[in-house]
Amino acid sequence: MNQTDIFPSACHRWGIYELAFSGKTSGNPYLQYRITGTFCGEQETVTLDGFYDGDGIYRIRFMPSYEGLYTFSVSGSFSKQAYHGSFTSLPAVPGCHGPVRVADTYHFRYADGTPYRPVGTTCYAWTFQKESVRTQTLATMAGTCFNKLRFCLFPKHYDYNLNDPVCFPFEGTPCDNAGLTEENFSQANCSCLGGREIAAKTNHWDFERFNPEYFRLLEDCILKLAKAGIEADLILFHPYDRWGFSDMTPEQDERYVRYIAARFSAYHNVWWSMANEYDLMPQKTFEDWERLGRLVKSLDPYGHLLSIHNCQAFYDHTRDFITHCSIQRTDLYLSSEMTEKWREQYKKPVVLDEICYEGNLQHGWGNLTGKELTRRCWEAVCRGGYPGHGETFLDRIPDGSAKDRDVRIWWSHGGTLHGECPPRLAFLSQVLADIPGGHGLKSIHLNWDEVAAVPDSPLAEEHSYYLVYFSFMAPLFRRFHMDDETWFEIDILDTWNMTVTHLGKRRGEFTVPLPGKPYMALRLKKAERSHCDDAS
Amino acid sequence: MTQVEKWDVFELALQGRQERNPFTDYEIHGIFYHKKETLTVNGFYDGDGIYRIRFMPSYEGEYTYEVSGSFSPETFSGRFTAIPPSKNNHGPVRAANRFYLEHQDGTPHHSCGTTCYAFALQETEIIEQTFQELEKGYFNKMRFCLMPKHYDFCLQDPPVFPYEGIPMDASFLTRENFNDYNGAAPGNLWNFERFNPAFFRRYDNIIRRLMELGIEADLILFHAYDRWGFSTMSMEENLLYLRYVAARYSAFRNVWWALANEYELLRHLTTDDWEQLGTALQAAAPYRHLISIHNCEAFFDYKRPWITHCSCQREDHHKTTEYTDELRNRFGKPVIWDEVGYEGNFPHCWGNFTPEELVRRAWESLIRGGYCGHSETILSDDNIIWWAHGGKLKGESAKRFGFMLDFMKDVPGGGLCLGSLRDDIHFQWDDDVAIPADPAFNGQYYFFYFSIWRPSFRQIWIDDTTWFDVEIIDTWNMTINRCGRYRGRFELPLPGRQYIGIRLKRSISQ
Repeated sequence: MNQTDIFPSACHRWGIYELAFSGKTSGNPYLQYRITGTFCGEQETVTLDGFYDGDGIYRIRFMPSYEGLYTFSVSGSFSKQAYHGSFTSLPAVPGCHGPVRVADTYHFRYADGTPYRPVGTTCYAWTFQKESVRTQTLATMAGTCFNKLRFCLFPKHYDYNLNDPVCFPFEGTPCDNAGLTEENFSQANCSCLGGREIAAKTNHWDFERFNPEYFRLLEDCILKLAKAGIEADLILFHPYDRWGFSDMTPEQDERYVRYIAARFSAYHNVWWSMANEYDLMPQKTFEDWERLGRLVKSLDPYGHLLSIHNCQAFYDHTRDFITHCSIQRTDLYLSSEMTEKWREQYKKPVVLDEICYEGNLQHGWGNLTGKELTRRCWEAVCRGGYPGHGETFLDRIPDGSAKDRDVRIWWSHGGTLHGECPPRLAFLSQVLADIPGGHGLKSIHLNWDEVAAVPDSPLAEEHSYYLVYFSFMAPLFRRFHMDDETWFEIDILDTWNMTVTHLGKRRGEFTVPLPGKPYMALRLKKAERSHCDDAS
Repeated sequence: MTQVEKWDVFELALQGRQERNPFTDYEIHGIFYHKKETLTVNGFYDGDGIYRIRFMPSYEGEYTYEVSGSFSPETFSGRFTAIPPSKNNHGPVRAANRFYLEHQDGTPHHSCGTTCYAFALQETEIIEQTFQELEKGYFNKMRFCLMPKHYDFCLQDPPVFPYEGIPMDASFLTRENFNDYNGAAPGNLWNFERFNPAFFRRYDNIIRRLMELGIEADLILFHAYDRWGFSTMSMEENLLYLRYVAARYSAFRNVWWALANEYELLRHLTTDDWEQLGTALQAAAPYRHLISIHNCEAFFDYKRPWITHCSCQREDHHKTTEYTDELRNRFGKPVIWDEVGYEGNFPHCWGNFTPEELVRRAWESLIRGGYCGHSETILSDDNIIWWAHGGKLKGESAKRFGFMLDFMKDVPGGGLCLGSLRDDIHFQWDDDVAIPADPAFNGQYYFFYFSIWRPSFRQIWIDDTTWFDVEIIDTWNMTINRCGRYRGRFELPLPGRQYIGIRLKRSISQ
């Protein structure tokens, strides 16, 4: 039976070609039936699974990586029928550059070759807030430079995160959260002694039946981010849990991962973060993470970026299923200053997803000044890594009463930003975007007491661009001697006040006057030949 | 009878032989007797036929002495009485309780130093300005070089040299070329066997004035910032110099020996040479003054028996005094951060950070049971820079060191140590908590320091029963706000600024 006419006839390259079918509803469709499709274009043939979306509907999603004619066939135990058809993959919609890939060992670019230099932020639980807050979060994001948002696929149980999410991933009923307080919430955590027993007793979930509404909500969020040009760094597992989602059986984990992969892989902006703070989950062993990481890699036909984020001990980022280092600083004082070391150790891009947040929380990870977080981000960039932002401002000092439950903090809930860091990171992003060769930087040895960097791209002309960052140091002048011949255009960047002061051209040995304030940087760009002639 | 305070200087000046080279060809020594000590000390030639011998009595009561040697055919004997020390005289500083410092009379010494490398060789007006600043009491140790200094901002000849001879012409030296003349530059003509007593007399005076202000004199004996060849003498010449210095200055109770500044930069000297020099100094200098040797890149092995404490320069640009507890564990001796970088606006990274950052580093050291020193490298029109010349303090950190020194004096027992690892108290992972090092004060005093972090409140939970008087210490604004009495688990609102600490003292009434 030919049903071609009822299937969509086209989609865009790196868009989603989605098919929906009615299928069996008897028994447990999540568990008992399978839907598989093969999509065949001139340059690729992809076989992947679909998923049950409730109400008798099965879906299968495919992201064409090329333009041109595709044919497909879909079949499986979900239906007695097999389906065939074809569609045309049209040029990508403007602004869509495809998935982000690792490029030249330490950097990234989009599939279409467009440079991508991540400057991300984190709102762990923004998708589980009420709609008005979600809308606000997206509106806030639109006004920032952030091109990656890191968030959890499971709801979050933590200080300032004691409300229930708007919905749950499984059918069932959650534990009662009425008695939870700042003081006692840890005891209800599945990663803590006794917490898993409490969770098992007080929650009633059917881990064999997903709640499609929950996943549709996540898809809506991922799609809106995609439209805004923002990568969605999806955290699959995390330890902030009172419901038992971090403590499922290996079979349940696998089913969850398969469901996630089938639903989300086709979104071009997806990154997989296997875990946040994997090492805070004694429920899972190293073998569990290896198995789950490999599983995701095998289920994702598009090769989305994949990493696993630490608390205290780094995961071995040299593992083959890991594409980049997703790092939390492990020292209170040294954070992004160690970027070179991590590059050297893992030979992969270094993304500093948590180097503490700007804010005023009581917790040591959440009360940096805007200046210190901005400084850490600059250190990261100048040492060849990519920084991550987060913000943790309390509007008021909590007094321990129930009203604290409604506190809204960017780091978790999203909403609005209050800090001084975001505009400075926008300035940093502009500097990043201006680096020749499409990538970020690598540090070099210029003078012993500064961080000097050059473009880390084979496309960048050598000796054409230097960025020198003075961090917390406040020199009144600095001397340079690059060589005797080359003219350089010199810019003084005030990374805090976000100004660029053009100093003019210099050659040979020269002194650059500086304001004697911290957070200054110098940019040296090789001057155009004609300008050199003018100046000489 | 002559009276001298215990721990002050008893001095004899004696006529002696002037022919040949009195600095090398004759010796003078004295034996001092007291019912509790007998000590032999060397004297030194002070020019013009005068030999001197200096002695610091360590006990009260009658001393007799006999002075003799090849300097004179005679033996000189006599007696004096050591009287009780005056109020500000607590005796020399010793290492105590492994990681701490105290004066000989048992008074804790909370080292809070500053550095003016070449201040002793400046013109009188600048030296007087320096002492006026020191009188403010922010610091109780001054670190400075005995040999003159050749470095950026310090290129003029000193008014006097340590040896007889002629210095190279300095008129053509500039900021750009001075590095080319390091070491024994051409044009110097020195007799390293003939000291210039006028040079060393200048330091007698400086050390004594510091002593009278209650300030320890951390004397740097060798350093590499040199165009005259004083850093490249032979080992024999080095030893002659050390013996002269030891004979001359040991009797000043406030002397500390800093064998070298940035010892690695004296590249011709090996570790074995430093061992020999350190051991010789220890042998030549009575009274067991503190001795250390200061690094540039890699720490010296401070475990060596002749070294009394770690005199550290930070190794990492970013993380510095936060390593204090690691160094304590590694070397088992007091940790003194003599250089963690300076407040200023120099081009060099070691001399251009904010006063906030320097003060923060000092407090990070303090809570870990170390001692952190100050200096300033602030460029201004007069080109007088505290770090090199002394003069006037221009920065904002100095008075904060004074505030910190007052804070340290209030600590029960000899000092603090990191208490965060104690498992009988409900400390949180991100608490940096200092407690008294002396177990006699267990449970009586806690100090939480928040450094770069700026929480708007914190929960504190020591135990359920003890009442504490709680104060918020703003280490930058130098304020101490009393918050009242608390017990059990409590939440304390904080100003949401950096550099805040919380001090808990066990209430008198429980």
